[in-house]
Amino acid sequence: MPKGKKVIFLGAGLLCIVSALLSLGLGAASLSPRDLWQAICGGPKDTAGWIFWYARLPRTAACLLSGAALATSGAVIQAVLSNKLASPSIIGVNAGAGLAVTLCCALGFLSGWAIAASAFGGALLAVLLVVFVAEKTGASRTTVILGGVAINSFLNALSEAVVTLVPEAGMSRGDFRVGGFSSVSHTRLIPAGILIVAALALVLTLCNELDVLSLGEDTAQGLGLSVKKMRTLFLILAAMLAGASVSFAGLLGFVGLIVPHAVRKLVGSESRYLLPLCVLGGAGFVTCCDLAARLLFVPYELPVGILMSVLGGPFFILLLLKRKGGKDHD
Amino acid sequence: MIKVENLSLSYPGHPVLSGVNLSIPAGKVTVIVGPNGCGKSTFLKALVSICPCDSGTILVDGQNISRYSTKELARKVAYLAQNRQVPDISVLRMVLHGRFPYLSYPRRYKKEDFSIAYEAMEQMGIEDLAEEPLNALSGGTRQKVYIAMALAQDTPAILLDEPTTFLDVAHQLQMMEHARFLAEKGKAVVMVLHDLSMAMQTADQLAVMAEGRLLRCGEPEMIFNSGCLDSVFGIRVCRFQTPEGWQYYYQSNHKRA
Repeated sequence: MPKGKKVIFLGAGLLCIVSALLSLGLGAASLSPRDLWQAICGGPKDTAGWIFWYARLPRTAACLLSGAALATSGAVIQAVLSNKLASPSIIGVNAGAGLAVTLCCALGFLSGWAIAASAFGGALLAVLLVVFVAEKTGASRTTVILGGVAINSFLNALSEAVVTLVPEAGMSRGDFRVGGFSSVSHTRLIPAGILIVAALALVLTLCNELDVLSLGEDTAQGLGLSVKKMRTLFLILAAMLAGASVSFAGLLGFVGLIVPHAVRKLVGSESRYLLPLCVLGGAGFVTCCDLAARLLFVPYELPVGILMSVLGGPFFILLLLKRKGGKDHD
Repeated sequence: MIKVENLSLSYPGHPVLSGVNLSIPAGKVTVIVGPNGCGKSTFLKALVSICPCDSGTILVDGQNISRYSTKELARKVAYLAQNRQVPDISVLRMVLHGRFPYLSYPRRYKKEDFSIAYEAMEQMGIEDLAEEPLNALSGGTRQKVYIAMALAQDTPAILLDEPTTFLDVAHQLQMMEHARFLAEKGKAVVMVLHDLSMAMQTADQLAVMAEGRLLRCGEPEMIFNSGCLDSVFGIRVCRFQTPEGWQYYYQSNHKRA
């Protein structure tokens, strides 16, 4: 690996570790490193132990997992649809998962596995719908996005309708809609976490396939890649990642779009750098944002989705402005 | 090397190819010409089973292509598509992907793949560009990268769909030299071309297609004498003697008043 890239990876890794440690320690009640250590060793016995095991640890894990999952899902979707505007929140994947989770709650299935599975199912259906529309209409790059945006607002509207008709389905809806980690629990996190880790592991072994796929359909086929099969597999994995993340973190928007782009600016589009750095960068970014959301207005807490857009928007525009002079063949 | 027998193919609603017979020998350049929409590109795609055929057989190395897996076929026939996305990756990576059909678990390019990729880049004279990003290169250089990728694929046959599109004249001529070079290495080279004089100059075997049929196939001289180009394109193909042999050019049939 070239030296510049090593430094970038090291930095992203550090960002993850530091933000995770801070996220474990800081909050409405701060835990000193010694408290932390005792809590880790002692289990949930005293107050500090309770805070650590039942609030901080699930929350930090949730931040890391959802950040990694959404960023990677975004990168994969962008490569497969060969469209840089695509991301799980824009083409309706998150909305599909959101609708499925809302329906699941409205029908009274509240177990962690039921919610994670339905979120994955909803995300997958949304992806397949987008692909179907794209293939039927001839799949120009703009059409994919337009179709996705339409599906997105349609699915979101359905979710709203369900919540209006069955108010109980909207437990902590406010948090769900913009995304947030204040109500993360073990029961929801563990099944989703398993899905995310499995999907990430698989995606990371398929870097070459993703690169060859983004050479274009005909070229990829000519190189011996079964295009249809691989594309479906990648979309299923992307739906798994995004869906699982939505099931506990709600509709976090921005991560899936800006993290892949920011990472691409840093290390280029080769998947073997892009995907791992998306995992690290996404995890670190979301954890930092969540940390800030908790600390900025103590004892009040901002939903992290809001903060992410406030921080991420300008940062992204800055990145776009910095890219002066670079050639771009779109 | 490749033998096509009675190939027919249709897209939903309309036939594209009907009853095409063609044999593509190793070590020769076969050029396919024909008016727009006559099925040339589809024909190439059928040879690498991107477009599945309705009837007829395609034999590669004596074996029907339906009996090859996608990867196995990619080790026999390299195909450079006409419409290509330009990914944001380095030249070396691009050429390395020519080794994709040979990848097995754990799916990493090995030393051997790297040395084959470097060799291919040297043959195309682009080894200095290994770390350059592909989308910063000019069209002509990029074309060399694609050919290096096909070389790295190490197949006995190479199909090139309109390899001269977007290239200036000098690079077009260079492309023809590359095609001859590939044939001299013993590969079966198939090209779709629009420029008739270039096709006549380069081809060992010229195949003329129109409306999904293969009208005639043979040495350029024979095709010229048959007058079939004139009737297919509705033009007049002429030639004159030069010290390097025949030069071909073409004129419109419609005389100006």
